[in-house]
Amino acid sequence: MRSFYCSCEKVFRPDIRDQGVVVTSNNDGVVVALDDKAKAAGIKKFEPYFKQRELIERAGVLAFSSNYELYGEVSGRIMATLAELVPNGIEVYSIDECFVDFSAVPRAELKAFAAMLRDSIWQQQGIKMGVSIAPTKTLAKLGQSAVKQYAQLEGVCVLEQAHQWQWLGARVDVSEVWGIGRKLTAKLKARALRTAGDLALMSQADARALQGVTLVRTVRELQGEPCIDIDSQPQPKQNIISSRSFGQKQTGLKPLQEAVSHYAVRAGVKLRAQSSLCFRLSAWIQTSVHDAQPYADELSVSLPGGTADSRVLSRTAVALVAKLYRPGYRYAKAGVALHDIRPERFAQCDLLAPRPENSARLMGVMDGVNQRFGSGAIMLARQGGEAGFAMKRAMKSPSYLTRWQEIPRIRLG
Amino acid sequence: MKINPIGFVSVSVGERRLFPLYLSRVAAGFPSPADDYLDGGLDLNEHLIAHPAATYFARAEGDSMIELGIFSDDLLIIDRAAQAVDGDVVVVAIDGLLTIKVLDLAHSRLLPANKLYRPIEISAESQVDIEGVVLHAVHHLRAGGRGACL
Repeated sequence: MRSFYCSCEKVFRPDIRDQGVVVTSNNDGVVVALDDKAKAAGIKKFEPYFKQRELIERAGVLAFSSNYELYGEVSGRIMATLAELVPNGIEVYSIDECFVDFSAVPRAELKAFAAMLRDSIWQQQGIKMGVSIAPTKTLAKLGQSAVKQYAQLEGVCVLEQAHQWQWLGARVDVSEVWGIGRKLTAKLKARALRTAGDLALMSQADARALQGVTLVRTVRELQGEPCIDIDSQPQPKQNIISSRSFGQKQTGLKPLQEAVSHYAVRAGVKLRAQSSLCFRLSAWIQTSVHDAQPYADELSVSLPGGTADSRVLSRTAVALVAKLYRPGYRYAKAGVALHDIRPERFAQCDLLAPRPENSARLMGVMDGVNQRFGSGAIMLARQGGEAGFAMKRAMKSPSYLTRWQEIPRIRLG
Repeated sequence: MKINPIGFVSVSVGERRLFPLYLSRVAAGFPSPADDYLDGGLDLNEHLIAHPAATYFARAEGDSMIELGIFSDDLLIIDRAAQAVDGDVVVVAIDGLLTIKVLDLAHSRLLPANKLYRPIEISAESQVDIEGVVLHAVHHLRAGGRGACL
């Protein structure tokens, strides 16, 4: 999906569908997403918002604070719709990308099938999706460059034969190839490998010497030989990190503790959603690196027996922050990470660390209520209010799909 | 006239169901004789929502649809996967504004459901997008307003 965040902002706003839109990061620091119209106006991604504000206003481009509640929900709905429409399930790759196994679709019908998927998502979700079909994942990603570039494809690119991906490969910069980062791009360009097509011709020995087996795989995939499977059953995450910048700098211990308590609870929700326990938790606090007096530190502690109980996670994170805290600094950020995550069935009984009674049931109720009434409907007392550490999202659109108070209002006349 | 219909494809996504809760504890004692006759709960979602991933809620404002029972402040359940046909109550975006009217494709019109309002003729140059079919309007009846109830 192109400019996915910007597109989400337009789903319930037909009045702005023809306008340019940018989305800003947490705390409205930088522009994180922009659509074609905003790009054409000269606005740059990852540049500070305040520096570009005049340009944005002058160009008639609308700015929104990131509304992750909305983007997450729209993404989930799109993935659910797709999963129902395709024969073999999908691999969700990111909030706006997924891989689909098309091997069960007859070749002659591929294009029509892809167009049907695109139409369905447009009609049911109000989001334009590009569909690119190829023998390998890397070529499928390459096809998305074509979808972006050539409007006449109408959002569907099918690469079936070598001459098709060779034609395209010669026209796509090597930096756009899936898995080729900034450093590797520099190395490849130093060897006069400028396009995806150049990279496809690299010898396997050279690829291995330069970057090992991962680059060999990329080269082979660019030649049409599948090396990376579609994984429609993702592995549970090994680490869960919950961390945010504060809306305002914090100096006291209590707001830091409320913040990490909040993050620990959020991480707990994710942990329980994948039916896992974590056996180690770490917490950190830090000032801005630009501060005259910078400070950052992290502590971690093991959780004997494993836990998925928000109360334990929160209590542990709060205790760690008490140890980390030094007065006299202006803290900008804090975070919590859960490590050593294992499936629930590996739960160990620990006589020294008895499990809180009814833990699973209480957490189930908490998750259920928060899912129904919006996250934060039930909180631990330790989490405090949403005041100081909450993100500044001054230009946020309503959470149209996830909060009763914010559902769209429609004027009937 | 340009009318973009929705819903060429009808799908059903991730139906939410209630699982039967047992009335008696499992661990000890006699099971309740009623356990064998449990139907499971009645799930309003199942009754009102055909396509969960394509359904959204909105709040109505205004009185142009009262003859069909849509009152101001009613909760509307809108399905973007349902195929809109003549006579359906639809959400439409007309020249950038969302509204709700009865679809009358045969006469290229959108009809209000209130004698005080006039039909909207769809002219050749206006852009009309159908943004979903209104399946239900939930009207709250309790004296003293909705209170905690949504």
